[in-house]
Amino acid sequence: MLSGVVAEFETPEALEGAYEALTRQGYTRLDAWTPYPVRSLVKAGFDGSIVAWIMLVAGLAGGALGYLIQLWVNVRAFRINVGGRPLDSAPAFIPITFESAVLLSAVTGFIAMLALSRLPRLHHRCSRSRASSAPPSTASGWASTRRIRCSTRASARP
Amino acid sequence: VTADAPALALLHEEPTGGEPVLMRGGSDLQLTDELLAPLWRRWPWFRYAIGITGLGTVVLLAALTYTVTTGIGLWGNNIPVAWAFAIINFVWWIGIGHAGTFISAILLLFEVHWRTSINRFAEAMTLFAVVQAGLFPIFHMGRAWFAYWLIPYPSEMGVWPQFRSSLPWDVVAVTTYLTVSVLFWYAGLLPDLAAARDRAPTLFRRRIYGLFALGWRGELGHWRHYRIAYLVLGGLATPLVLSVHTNVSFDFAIAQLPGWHSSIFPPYFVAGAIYSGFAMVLQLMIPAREVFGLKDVITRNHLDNMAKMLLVTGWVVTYTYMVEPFMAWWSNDAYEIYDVLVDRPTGPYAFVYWGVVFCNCIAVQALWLKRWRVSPGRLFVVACIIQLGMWSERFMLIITSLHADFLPSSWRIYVPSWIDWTILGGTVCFFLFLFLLFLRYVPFIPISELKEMRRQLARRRHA
Repeated sequence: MLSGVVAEFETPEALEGAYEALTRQGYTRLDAWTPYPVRSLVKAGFDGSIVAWIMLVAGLAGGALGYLIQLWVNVRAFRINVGGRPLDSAPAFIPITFESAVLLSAVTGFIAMLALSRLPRLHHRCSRSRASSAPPSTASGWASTRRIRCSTRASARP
Repeated sequence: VTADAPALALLHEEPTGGEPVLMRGGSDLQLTDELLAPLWRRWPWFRYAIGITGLGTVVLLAALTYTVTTGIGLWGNNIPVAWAFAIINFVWWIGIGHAGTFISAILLLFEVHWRTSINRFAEAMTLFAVVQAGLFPIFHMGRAWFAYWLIPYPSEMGVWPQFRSSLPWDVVAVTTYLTVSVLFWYAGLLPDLAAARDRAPTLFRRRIYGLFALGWRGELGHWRHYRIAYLVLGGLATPLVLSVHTNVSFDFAIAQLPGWHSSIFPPYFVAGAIYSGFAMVLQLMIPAREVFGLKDVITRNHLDNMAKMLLVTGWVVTYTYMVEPFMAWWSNDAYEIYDVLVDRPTGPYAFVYWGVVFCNCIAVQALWLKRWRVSPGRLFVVACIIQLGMWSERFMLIITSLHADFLPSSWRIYVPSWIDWTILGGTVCFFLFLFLLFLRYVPFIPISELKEMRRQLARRRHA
């Protein structure tokens, strides 16, 4: 069963032209494999990513968690009187609060980026079908035109 | 070869004028293969280089083992000079790391084109420098096997870290910095590891690179999330890098010791860190550029810009050297005045002080001349002098402030032991060892980003 058609293009401009033409003909399930982001396509295909919002939430949660750990440790669990200074010293807790926010945001962002791209993935049908002969376009740039069969949901369908 | 190859050959000039940032034409495929070629080639010198640095790493491990099994008394530090080499080297190495993040994150946000060719390089330098930095505080504790006590965790002892001290801040800052740097570096690597997988000559290599590429295919959906995540990671790394050396400087500035207790320390440390880091990038980049024939990818434009960064940060450091004596005099504090105005320039460590002034303030002035900025040989010499100067600066800051403290009866001249020197030399070897492995097995020029930049510059020129 032919579930999709794949073509290779010489230049990003050719790819952009084909993408636009197919979109105009009413094709919606289109995807492109490019060695670097082709801006117009990334914009045409999707408007932004939820990753930034996930990172914001994770950052705020990380900061709150970092602050609360310090508060609980120094005010509840292990109270040390240093020259009568307050146990709850907000200014002294700021550096770790900031670092925790960055840490959780970055780790979550990286994982979210992979998860939303459905990665890591050891095997993909489209790459295997060509791996033995020519490499897919991820790296090689924009080589000759050919057709292959492959059954991803990303393929073109009217 | 694509149809637009002749056009591509002309286009890699910096839009703001000046020398080109990339002088390689040809198709994207050609560029990919050229930049991946060092991975598949044999390097006749590699076994010797890795052998020598590997031997140095073994010596480092031996010296550390000797320290752990015998005790910290093997090192030269003792009261009143309790910090000495361990903290000098810690601050020096972590400072070196900062230029990598500066280049990869801050210059990314400013959309500086010359960043692209060297950012992977600089990021790898960051990672390996932070690894070296992390060794010192751990072994300086004496009982390195209790290092995990620095992390808050529930234990039956009921003892927790004290977060109102700057030392736990440091632990969190450095571990966060290492983690975020690894993620940022690896995220940038994904498309290039995929390129290596797709172009690898043997099945074994295809599988190894395929494993590390995590299945990257460059789909629209991949790029959509990737671009945002990479940009936000850059945005997070920017304040992070400033915060890390700020935290390191708090270790000093929050103490009440004359010579340390100063509010100028955070910006002073950050500028010094970027100064020594840029020097280290040049020390690594200039030889690599010669060995791998990358003069058209890392062009004279890069050398010129890096040299200008040295000049800027060098002047910030010089400014601080001028402000410190003024602040000491203005404080009207006898100990502060003695330490900064008398002991440093005329005391037993005066040669270090004047060496620092020469290396960090005077030698760098040669970079006002363009022929010094674009000459790899001269720039390499200046970078080495600055590196020596920045290490000596940390020596000056730590030793002169500690060796003559409040009571003359406890004054002491500090001399590092041979174990101190062995560990310092060992970390240099370990650093180079890791860096050589990186050069050998990882695409060290960002291929995907370079192709994208080339395309953008071509479009801009076309328009």
